[in-house]
Amino acid sequence: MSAETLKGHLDSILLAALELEPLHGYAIMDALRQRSRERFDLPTGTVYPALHRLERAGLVKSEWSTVSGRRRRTYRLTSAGRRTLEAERASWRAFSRTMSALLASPEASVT
Amino acid sequence: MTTPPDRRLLTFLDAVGRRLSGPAKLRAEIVAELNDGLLQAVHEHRVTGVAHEQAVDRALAQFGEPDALARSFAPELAAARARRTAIAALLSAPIVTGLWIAAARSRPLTRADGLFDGAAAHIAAGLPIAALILACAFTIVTTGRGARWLRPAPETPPLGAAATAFSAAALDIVLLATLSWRLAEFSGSVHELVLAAAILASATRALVTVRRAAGAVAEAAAVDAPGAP
Repeated sequence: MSAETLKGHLDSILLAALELEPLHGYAIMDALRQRSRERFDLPTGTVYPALHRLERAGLVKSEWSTVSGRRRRTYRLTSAGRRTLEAERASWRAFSRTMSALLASPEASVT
Repeated sequence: MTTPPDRRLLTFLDAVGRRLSGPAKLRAEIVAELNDGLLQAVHEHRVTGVAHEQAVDRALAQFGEPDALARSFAPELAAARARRTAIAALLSAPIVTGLWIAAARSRPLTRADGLFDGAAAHIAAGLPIAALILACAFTIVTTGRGARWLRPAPETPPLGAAATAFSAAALDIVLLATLSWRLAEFSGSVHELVLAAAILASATRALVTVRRAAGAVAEAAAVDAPGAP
């Protein structure tokens, strides 16, 4: 799956990746690869700037720590980020239900 | 586990760092974050049994070309600079305005002098003030929490910064062109220093903001250019 296809949903995807626990940028990319069963590989140049943008908008908050002698930036969801994720999820579900109904093959709808 | 610094990774990070433009602290943070990501990538390839050299190859391939990677941060760096421009305009406003008010008050100016009369004078001063307030507020909102709802295009923050800087420069030029020579006409009055300080403050801000406006327009064009993210 190309990154272009999912570009409009990038923010929701990143917020969802941080839902369970705070993660650093590379771990987020890794988590997305695994979650999508390797079908979705977001470029580095997309993920890091998008995280910075989400932080500016107050949806995630980053903290610096030192790990293995190097500085690491870890991102976590803010309460506004959590609310945004819930709203995006609800609207995606509604959209997905509607599309499934509209695109269902005629045979499948005959009972 | 501490990974020894790898020459190729350092060269890559250096290449990215040199191509970033914007506030120094942000550039250093971007390089530090990429350094951690690269080392983590190398580490994760190593634990699957890949040799160090190949692990570095794969990590570098994942991070792409330094030029493209640096370019992808341009909108964020431009937004950060735009926000700083707006905040600087906001902070300098009371200083510059205060100095001009103090300078005007130090002179025996009355309405009879005609300085503050006439629609033209009000429009000349009012337009840049209104434009400055609007552009400043717009830039601060679109580069902060407001981005959540407004979802500004990458070129919007630098254009907001350019509008802010142009309005501030226009206001200073109007102040210098109208008030400075009228106030200087009064001889033998007190507070020569206040007028000199007001002129210096406005002249400095006009020079700085004109340069900044040109820079912001260039940044807006760069993030809007084909090939930009």
